[in-house]
Amino acid sequence: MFNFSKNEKTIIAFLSTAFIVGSIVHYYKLNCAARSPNPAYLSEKDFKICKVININTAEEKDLIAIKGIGPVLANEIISYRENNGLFISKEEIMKVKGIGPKKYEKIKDFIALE
Amino acid sequence: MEKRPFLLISLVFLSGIMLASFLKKAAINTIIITAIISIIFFIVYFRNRVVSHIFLYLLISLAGFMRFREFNELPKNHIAFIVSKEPKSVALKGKIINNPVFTRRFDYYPELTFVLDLNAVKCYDKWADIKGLVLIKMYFYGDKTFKYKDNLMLEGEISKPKSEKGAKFNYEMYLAGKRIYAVSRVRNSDYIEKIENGSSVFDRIMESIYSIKNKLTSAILINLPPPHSGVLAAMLFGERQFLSSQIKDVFIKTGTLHILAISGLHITMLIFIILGLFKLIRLPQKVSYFFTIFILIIYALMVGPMASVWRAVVMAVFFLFGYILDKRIDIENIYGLTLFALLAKEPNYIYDAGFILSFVCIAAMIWVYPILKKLFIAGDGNIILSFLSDYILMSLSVWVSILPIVAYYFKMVTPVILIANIIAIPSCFILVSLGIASVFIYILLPNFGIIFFESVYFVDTILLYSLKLLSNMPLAFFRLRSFTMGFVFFYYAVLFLVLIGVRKKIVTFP
Repeated sequence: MFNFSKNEKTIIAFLSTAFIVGSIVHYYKLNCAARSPNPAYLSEKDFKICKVININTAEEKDLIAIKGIGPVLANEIISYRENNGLFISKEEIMKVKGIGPKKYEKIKDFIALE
Repeated sequence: MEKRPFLLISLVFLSGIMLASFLKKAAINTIIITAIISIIFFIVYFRNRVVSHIFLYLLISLAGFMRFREFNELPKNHIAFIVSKEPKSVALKGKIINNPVFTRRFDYYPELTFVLDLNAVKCYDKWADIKGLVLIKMYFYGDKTFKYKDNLMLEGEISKPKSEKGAKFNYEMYLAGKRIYAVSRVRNSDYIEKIENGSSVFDRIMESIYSIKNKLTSAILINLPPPHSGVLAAMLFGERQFLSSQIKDVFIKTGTLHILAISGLHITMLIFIILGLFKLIRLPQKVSYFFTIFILIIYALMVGPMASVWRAVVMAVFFLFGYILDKRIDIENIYGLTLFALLAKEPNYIYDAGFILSFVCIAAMIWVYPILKKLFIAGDGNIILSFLSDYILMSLSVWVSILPIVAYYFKMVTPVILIANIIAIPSCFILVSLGIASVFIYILLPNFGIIFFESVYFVDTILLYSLKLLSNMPLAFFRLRSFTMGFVFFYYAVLFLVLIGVRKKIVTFP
């Protein structure tokens, strides 16, 4: 019925194999998603609540929620932001007076840029 | 050599460029006088082949010297003479000359990067006519969008490019090779203004090409999770910003970073696909070659100014033109012609690691591989063994040839590359063809396209898993404390002598 050249047969075979493999992977992924644990069975203890503060928009009351930052340091951060613009990288917070490498290591997991 | 004039011409031209890069302060008058004398002697000794050739090649070398000087000459009102290492607040007016790239790095605010071709700079409330290219890094731009050939006015801090502390990579020199001598950080979208959007026909064509590229890249990012989307976007469109440093590290440690850089491997696959499709629709062969050349040029423009891409595309175009004109194809001549064409266009490619690696790889395949093949293979054996041994010898030829360059730039030697390439190269072929099929099928039939992307995910998972395993093997790679340019030249001198010696032995005792 179909008179395909060798070239055409190669392309069809390649695309068919790709389609079959892709379908198997897609089906497997959907199956895994359906079998994942129902979040309702997990208790609150299973979740580690970690509040991250956006240092580019945070006010003083948000910044002092971070362990290691008090009212003075919070104002220094806000002051730096007003004078130098928003923070481009997390490490840039070390340019704020009162925050050195040790302080940065303590707070870096609790700060974000956006 | 006469049958392959372009090889010698390109090497002589290259020598002129390299001389100019060392003798940056040589008086231009001396060069002009030498050129005039060479022309006179060439004409006088025209009938004497040897003497006239010597002066001809001297002229070509001087042409390379002059081209490098002219390319790197900066006008007096260039931004390079104004910037310093200390950031300065300025306003800039200029035009975007590339496709803006959005990068998201860990612990950094998302960054939009593009190159601005300056018209004017305002410092201390006064606009001045300042020219040059500036790399703009933009943050907090809100809802504003930027594209190729947008005319902008923006405010930011400008300074000379700085390498990161302790980094071995010289960022300032890397950007200087692209004629970028300043970097500006723009932190506030309030001070960004689009002026007007005048554009030529070429600009509008490039805008359309970039727009298509962005749509095709988006199709990949929507349908594949990271890091697989990053790998495919790099392989198909040269978009490396979606690759994490951990993934790049795996490729570097196994010596397979070359499959992420669009080069001969990818272009060959692309040509097979295009010609295959034209054969399906029964297009005459020479017409299909013409269209292939056209598509390759569009593709090279889409990917951007990457040396390895242009090397592969220019060589492919010369090959295809040879077939169209029914000329005998000579790989060495085409190699020389390509080298000459690219260096004439951009002499600063001598600073580009991708350019050097690309040409050294091809040189290895043309000259080193045939010698190793004659040395290690005697007669025809089992087809599969013969194919495997050919493959390993090709890999060995390339590895031996690029070893000093990789050691110089990456301070690393990767013996595991010989095994890694057995997996990486066929995977690259499959991923490029599957990736192109998936992207285009997704655009036409999204539900089918998703299925094809799953097969890309499958192949890429196997590739990344295998490479990760190989990179963790003992003795997979060695880090070097230093590897100077002197060692590079010494290595190639020894390699050249060894190959000449081996070749003579093979000729004498076949």
